[in-house]
Amino acid sequence: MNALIYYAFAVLVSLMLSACNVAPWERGNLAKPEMAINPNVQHAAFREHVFESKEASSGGIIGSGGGCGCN
Amino acid sequence: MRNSILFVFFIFFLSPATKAIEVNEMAVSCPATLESTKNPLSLKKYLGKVIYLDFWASWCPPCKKSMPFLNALRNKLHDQGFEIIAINVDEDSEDARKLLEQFPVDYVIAMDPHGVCPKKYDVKAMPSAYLIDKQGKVRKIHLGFRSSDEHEIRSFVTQLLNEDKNKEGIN
Amino acid sequence: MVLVAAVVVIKKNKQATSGKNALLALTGAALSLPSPELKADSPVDQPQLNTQFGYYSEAGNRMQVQVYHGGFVVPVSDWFQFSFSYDQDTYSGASPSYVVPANSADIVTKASGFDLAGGPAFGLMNDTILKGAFADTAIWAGLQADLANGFVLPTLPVNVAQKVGVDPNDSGVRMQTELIKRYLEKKQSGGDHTIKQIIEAHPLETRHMPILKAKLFFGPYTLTASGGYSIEPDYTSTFGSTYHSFEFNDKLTTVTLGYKFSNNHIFRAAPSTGGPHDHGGSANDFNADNTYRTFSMALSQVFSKNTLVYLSGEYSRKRGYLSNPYKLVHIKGLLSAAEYTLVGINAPLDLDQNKGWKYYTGVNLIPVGIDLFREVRPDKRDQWSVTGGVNQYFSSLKGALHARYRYQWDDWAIRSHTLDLAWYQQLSFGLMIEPYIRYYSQTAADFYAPYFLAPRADGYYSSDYRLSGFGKLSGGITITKQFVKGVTLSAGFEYMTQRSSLQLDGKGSGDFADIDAYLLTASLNINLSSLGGSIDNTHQSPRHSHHGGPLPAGIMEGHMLSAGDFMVSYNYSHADWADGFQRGTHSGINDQELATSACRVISIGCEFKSTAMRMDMHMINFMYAPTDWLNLMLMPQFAYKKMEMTPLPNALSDAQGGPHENVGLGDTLMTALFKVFENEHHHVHLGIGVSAPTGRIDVTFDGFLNNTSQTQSYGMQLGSGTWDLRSSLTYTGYADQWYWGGQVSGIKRMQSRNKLGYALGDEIKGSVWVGYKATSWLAFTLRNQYLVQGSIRGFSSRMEYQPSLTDPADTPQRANTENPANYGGKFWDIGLGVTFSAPQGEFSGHSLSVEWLQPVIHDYNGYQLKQDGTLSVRWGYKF
Repeated sequence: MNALIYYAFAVLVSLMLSACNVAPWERGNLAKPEMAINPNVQHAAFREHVFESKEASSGGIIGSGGGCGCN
Repeated sequence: MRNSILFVFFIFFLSPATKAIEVNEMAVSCPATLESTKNPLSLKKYLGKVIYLDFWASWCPPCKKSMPFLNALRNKLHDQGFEIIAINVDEDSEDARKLLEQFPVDYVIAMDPHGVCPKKYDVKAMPSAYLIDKQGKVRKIHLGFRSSDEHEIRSFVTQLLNEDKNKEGIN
Repeated sequence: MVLVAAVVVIKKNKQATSGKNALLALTGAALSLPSPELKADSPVDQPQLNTQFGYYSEAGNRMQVQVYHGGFVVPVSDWFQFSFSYDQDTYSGASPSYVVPANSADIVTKASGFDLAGGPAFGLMNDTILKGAFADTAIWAGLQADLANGFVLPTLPVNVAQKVGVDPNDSGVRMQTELIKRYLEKKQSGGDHTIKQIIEAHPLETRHMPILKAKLFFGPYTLTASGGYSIEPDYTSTFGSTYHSFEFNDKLTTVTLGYKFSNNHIFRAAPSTGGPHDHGGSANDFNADNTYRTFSMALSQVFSKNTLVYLSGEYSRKRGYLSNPYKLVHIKGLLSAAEYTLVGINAPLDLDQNKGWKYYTGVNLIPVGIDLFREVRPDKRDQWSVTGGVNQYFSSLKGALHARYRYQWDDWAIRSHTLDLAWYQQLSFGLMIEPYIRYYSQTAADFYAPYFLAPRADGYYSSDYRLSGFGKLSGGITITKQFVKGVTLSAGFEYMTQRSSLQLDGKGSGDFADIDAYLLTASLNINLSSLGGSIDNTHQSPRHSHHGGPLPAGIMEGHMLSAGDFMVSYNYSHADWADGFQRGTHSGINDQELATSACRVISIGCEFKSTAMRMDMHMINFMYAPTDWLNLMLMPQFAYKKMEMTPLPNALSDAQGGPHENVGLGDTLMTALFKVFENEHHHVHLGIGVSAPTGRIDVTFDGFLNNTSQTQSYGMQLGSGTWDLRSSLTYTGYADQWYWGGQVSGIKRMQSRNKLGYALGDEIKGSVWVGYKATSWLAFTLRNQYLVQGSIRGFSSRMEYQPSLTDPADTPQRANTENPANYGGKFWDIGLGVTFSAPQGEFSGHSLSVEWLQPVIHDYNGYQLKQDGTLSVRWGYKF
């Protein structure tokens, strides 16, 4: 079981580090607002507030990353 | 088992090596289309001038931020032999044209929607600027753009313009 | 290069015999790659203002919520960004209080006379239960027959009887007990067992939430810190969070660690007892605390130039009072008929009231009715969740697909699945359309049941449907339009349906709790910097040059924009009334005169007077010029009003007076401005507008939105209740540094009565002003204003205290504010103003004006508090 977890993690890490070679100038689509994890933050926050008050679950909707990767 | 893990790692790490343009190397030409004439860009035409070769895109906020500064700098130093060539890497050049309609600039714009130029230069960040001296040699690579960079860029360009001032003719 | 580094590191770690070491080595290699100094995430490129309106409504007159959100984000420097937001929610409506089998409904009821505060109901057990038991001849006859046949009345439980001070053999009490026991058994058995939700109305409540946030950018590391408060009458929360993000791997990978906490106080408002003007008894009868701590970890990875993948995990730790102070549970078998009889009827009044039912019966829960108790949830909850998602862009379609799944589990046995799917489609003309669906399913908490037929060993009970098993499906669409000048408008609608049968394994807790609801949202975002202006700072387009000068802050609709311009402004005004009463122009009115003459029905007179009033108006004005000769304006407004009342010395009732306040959306104004004349130095325009009655006029003292509670007075309501015509004619002129102008404006109510039977008076106002531009950024104004305002026509009986609605024997509590004749008048004021504006540079287009309007001579209709003066502030941005 441990070995399996290791193997999966290793593949994940190596996929991360190499297979996704996206050059800095190729990030145009990732920079589009609709590719952000939460494109419309206000709207998402309002919906989450409504759901959290009517359901027994909460959270899980955080995240940053993607985007244009600009400097 | 462990050996096979290492093997997998090696396979994944076989990324193609790229030959980047480093400082003190000669600038190379690359296929980009001049926006004003629709002719291909030729860097040779600019030998004897100091060139700020800028890689930019409409989706890059620091690129937009640099435009007023670059335009002002270019216009101020243009008759001293300074030019800015901004290679746009938008996959759809229309996006760049829309931006230029709102914020027109006076320096040279060239389109490279297929990204051949940035690949040749192995551009590491957006925006990236290659400062090229009168002999056509890359003297500095400036990554990114912050307002605090303005002073540094201005003084380096001025320094390049002052080089070989007393020598005559073009090497 | 990457390959070489990796090989070198692995070779160095010769003992890399275990896979673990190799992995560590490689991770180290990746992180130690000589990367050029890549700066990471950066602040937004310009300041932005964002506003949103949200509306949530449940079917069947249940909950309704209106949410107003406003905020701004400012990039202060290359490495620091700061934002502030303010939310105001208004809740009203009803929600389920508890659940019973239908045949028990009339027995298990809160109105069974028990003390809602949960203390021992000494002598308060409902007459109807007793009367019912004694009056039921069949039960009486049956008991008599059994007694005759040798049935022995059971003795009372000794310990309870002794504590109450009753002899366990007391035959009278034993008879009472047996009758009640048989009555309850009869009423609760047989017949219809369908489940019935008992719905309870809530008073109107407003929640305020300010949040401050700072983001710091240090190379590949970004720190976000935020903190805020949430305040509503029965709940306050102090919360904060920090997030740490690391970008690496050429900024293709981001790892975020987060921590969030909130410290919460829960109250329960006790119902006030003295009538609308009595604020002496509305203390909270309950308060408790809890804390939430959440730890989160997230990883996001760019997989291709069109794919972003993310994974996150969260752990939440909740400790303290986690129950709902308003929810009740029906539990049979917790207290016996004997205990109800002994403690509910026979406990002596002079026993220590604080001991409560727990002391007498040993039962931990607080009874509020027969077999009806306040719910009790565990005082700890540990929640875990895992979320994964993908964002995929399709360039040929110019659209993006978002898919996200969250699995959550906790130690209350609740497990939930959430699946979100959204499609973002870019269309022409700057439009984007986003259809989305969401599926949610949760299992019930292990201490949840609609009602309980036997007590639970762990002592936890809840019938709150939010902890039940159900599924929820919702679908919606949002449309966004981006305008050229950095203005983005969006509107959305979503419909949701919650069904017990939609739970993932199909079981659910029962369809009695099924409910539908819908959401509406509208938002407006505006970029606030003149990066939207021309690149070359020497360009000064003629349309931006200032003719004349900035208007006094108290003048609205006073200027026009050139074609294509937008303007947004925030206008604030504050007015106070205090310092005694005035009738006409006579001041120094004494209480005696108020008591006899200020109220509408002279024979009854006045018992209460207002002593102070305060009004804050927040108006947001959006202006757009489609052409040079036509401008369109939209102005929603929010009002905050507060009034203090005191009983007059001759008051008969013993109510105590106090403050009451009202806050919410006011009427919305839509205006068109038409340019009539313009030359180099002079300009005239005409404004025609309509005020829509979006402001409530039925806000009550007790907060309930029904047809019977007394409404707050005319001056305290948020709107006029009528469609009003608003027109104005404005002249402005200028010469060099000096400028001047005049405006005549009027309000004509287009309906003679609103839905409550009255209409505010019509108004006509005339203003003249002169201004001086001291520098390009500073100007002063002097203004003279005369306003004639009619008194209120008609009257609303709901604004007046109706003794018969509560207790016919009650004495009246009439106040001067309820008399329609005490409104309006003729007012002469002088205004002094100053304006700061930024004609050039990064902040060009912004201006801030302040004006103080000082009363000179006020001639009030009837009896009114004297007005102190009005402060107006306007911040505007033209772009």
